Amino acid sequence: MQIKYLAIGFSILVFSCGLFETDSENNNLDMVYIALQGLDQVGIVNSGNGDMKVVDIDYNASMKETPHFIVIDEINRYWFVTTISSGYVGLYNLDTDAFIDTIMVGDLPALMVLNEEDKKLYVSRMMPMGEMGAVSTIVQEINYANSSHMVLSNEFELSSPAPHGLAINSDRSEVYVASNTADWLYKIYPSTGERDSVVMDSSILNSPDMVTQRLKPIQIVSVEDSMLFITCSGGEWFDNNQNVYLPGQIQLWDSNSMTLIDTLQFDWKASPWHIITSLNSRMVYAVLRGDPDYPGSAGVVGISFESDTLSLVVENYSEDFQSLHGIDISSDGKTLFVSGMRDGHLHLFNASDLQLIKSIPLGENYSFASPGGVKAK
Amino acid sequence: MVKIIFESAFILIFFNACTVENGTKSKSELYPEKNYTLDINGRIASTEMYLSDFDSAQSCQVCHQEQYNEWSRSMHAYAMQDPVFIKGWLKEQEQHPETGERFCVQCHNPPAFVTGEYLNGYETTDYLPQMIKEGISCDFCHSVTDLSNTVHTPDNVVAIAEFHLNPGEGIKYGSLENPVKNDYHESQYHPIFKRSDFCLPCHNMTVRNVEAEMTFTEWRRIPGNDMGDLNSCQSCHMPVKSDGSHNHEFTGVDINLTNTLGSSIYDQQYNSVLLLLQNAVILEFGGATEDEILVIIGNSLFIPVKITSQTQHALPSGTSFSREAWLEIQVLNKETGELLFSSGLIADSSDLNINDENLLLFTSYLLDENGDTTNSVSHTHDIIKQMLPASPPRYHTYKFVGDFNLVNEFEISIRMKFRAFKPHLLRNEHPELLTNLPVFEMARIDTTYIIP
Repeated sequence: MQIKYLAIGFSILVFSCGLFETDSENNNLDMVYIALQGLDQVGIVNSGNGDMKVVDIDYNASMKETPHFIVIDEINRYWFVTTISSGYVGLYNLDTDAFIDTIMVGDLPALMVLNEEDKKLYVSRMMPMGEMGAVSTIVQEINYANSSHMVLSNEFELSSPAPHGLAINSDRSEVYVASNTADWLYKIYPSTGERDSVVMDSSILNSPDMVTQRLKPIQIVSVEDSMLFITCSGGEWFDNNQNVYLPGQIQLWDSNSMTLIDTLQFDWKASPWHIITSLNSRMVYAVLRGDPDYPGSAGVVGISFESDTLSLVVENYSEDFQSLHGIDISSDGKTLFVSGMRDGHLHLFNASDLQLIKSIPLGENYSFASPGGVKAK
Repeated sequence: MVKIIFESAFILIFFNACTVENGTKSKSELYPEKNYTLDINGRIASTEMYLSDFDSAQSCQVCHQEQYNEWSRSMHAYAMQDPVFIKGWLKEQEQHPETGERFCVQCHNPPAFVTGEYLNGYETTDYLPQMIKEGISCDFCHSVTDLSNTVHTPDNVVAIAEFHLNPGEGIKYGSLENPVKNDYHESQYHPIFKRSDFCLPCHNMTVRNVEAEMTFTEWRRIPGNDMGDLNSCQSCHMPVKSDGSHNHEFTGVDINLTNTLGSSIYDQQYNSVLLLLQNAVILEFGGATEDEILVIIGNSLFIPVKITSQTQHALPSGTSFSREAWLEIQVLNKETGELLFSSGLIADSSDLNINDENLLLFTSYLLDENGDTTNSVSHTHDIIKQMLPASPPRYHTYKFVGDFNLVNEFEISIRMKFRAFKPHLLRNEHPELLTNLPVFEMARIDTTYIIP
């Protein structure tokens, strides 16, 4: 009788602790890091069961932080986050999520790319926000070779303001940057500091320092060391005394010659935003941020680039998506993770057909979370 | 021994269950709300709220005198007092008997809207309950528990504003994370009080899919603003004071024109608006490229100007169709003081010459179903936007043609001016207000040009 009680009690205890849960029960075990801009937190979501733990971001007690973008160094086991409002880059242990260090970079840090081999991180600037907007023309290089202390190792000053969109090639010899306000594209050679540049807006061919706010490039992804895909949000634009609406675009550039190859246009309300490349096919996936005043304008698109021609292969729009923002892909390439900034959810899509798998609310106060950048490990 | 293990297991299970249950409160538990539904005319079909659920601002005054005084000077307190509003409201009731009264009340008096207090026919609010007279008062805002969407007004122009409120429960919500306890009401922190979306339901409206009054959207469309709610409405219109509290004057571009010109209350409002407007733009001589300079070519004088907005939305915004900002330029013979050229130079209450090719005017025009200009939001079928966007800068080049043989030096003065009403909107129906309507000088630049 005693043994029977013991067995029952032990079984209940073990099952309640979840010791017998398997990977298959958790479906997909990617952990998804999401910048919860409105809550000054980074959420770490188990994409299988939707559980989320949070890391509080509190670098400056006297002001808001606004964590925005996350990158993961899987080789050296770190993750990094930019905080727009307080101007920091934070460094964390990827295995424990323990805080390691911060470095003050100032002037609205935005996107990041990594050179894991040399332990270097490149940081771009946020796009303008009126008088609080980034006026800096600098892309910073941060060295994290000393694992407990990041140092600013280089700065690359461009001729254009608001260098926002950022990408790096596979051998880490070239960093690409797009000015959000002047529509210029730069290729920086970090080892020498040299750079090439070209105007992106062929219709007006503005000088690099002239703020036009027409195409509004958002993010860049480098593919096969020969192509750059650049999302351009476009939208409402004031031309002297009338407002006009410029289509959102995804541009395909030859990264060697720095020439435009092809452009795919979207409705002006679509606002192409963050973009990633497929792991398994010649495809890129882009988030269409949409305009909250036009329900159904937000979505996700899959674009093929066979023969250097962009073609829309698959798309999914929904009125449930509000201001979609960040995107990443699972380690097996089968699932897309997309954050909804105004709907407060992490949306999971099947990468092959973009069918919505599920939407995970980001905490109890998800409607105030304002999730931004997304990174899966 | 067995009993101990079994009991331990039971306690563990129970503890686990309790952890899940008590870990965090759900959003609806933290921030409950009382519901209402509307019928097809925008009237209350059902509501869980009563007017008596809302406390009068006078009851807040006892402990919050400074905030009460600030609010009393605000346009929120003036929302149901403004004669321009009252007249427009009565017109709406006449033109849209089923829907007109609610259409205006949804934002000018949300407590009346959500409780179904109908106010048809009142030409004055003098005899109405205090809560109605107070317009947008303390307890309305401090009862908000969730964010709302843009008011998308359909073709039949019914009120459809979405408010999430929890009045009458003795809880005042606000932006203080650790509010001091008091004996009069419960105080609860709510993060939405720091967000621009908080202002959205009354400051963002489409009519028949036309972006009629879209201050929030203008703010949101500035790349970056939406992310993390930077540069919020509150940061400019409810600035933090030296004691850490927020100013509750909600200063915008309007002042109460029924106040006596030169009275202390008039001056106080005027100075607050002036300060805001003087920080709203930067004027500079110069064009979009280095080649565009102040120059005479033949018999033409070219004066390039750059106007950079410092606001986080269009200028003018809100009811932009009733407002105007413009550049006034004067070009004088420096030696004689003779006015050679001008644009936008008018007496304060006169109309601008919109046929002047040199005039740089920032405003908008609502168009009715026939494509004619209208000042009635409910008749809007289209809009022509000519506002100054938050970004990028606006470039404008004046061209004056003349004989410059007798001039050696020009004295050039440019001012950016603003008034909250186009004079013709007040001239016939509110002439007494027109005399009180100030023209603000937002910015000024001067230069001297010596003819080579």
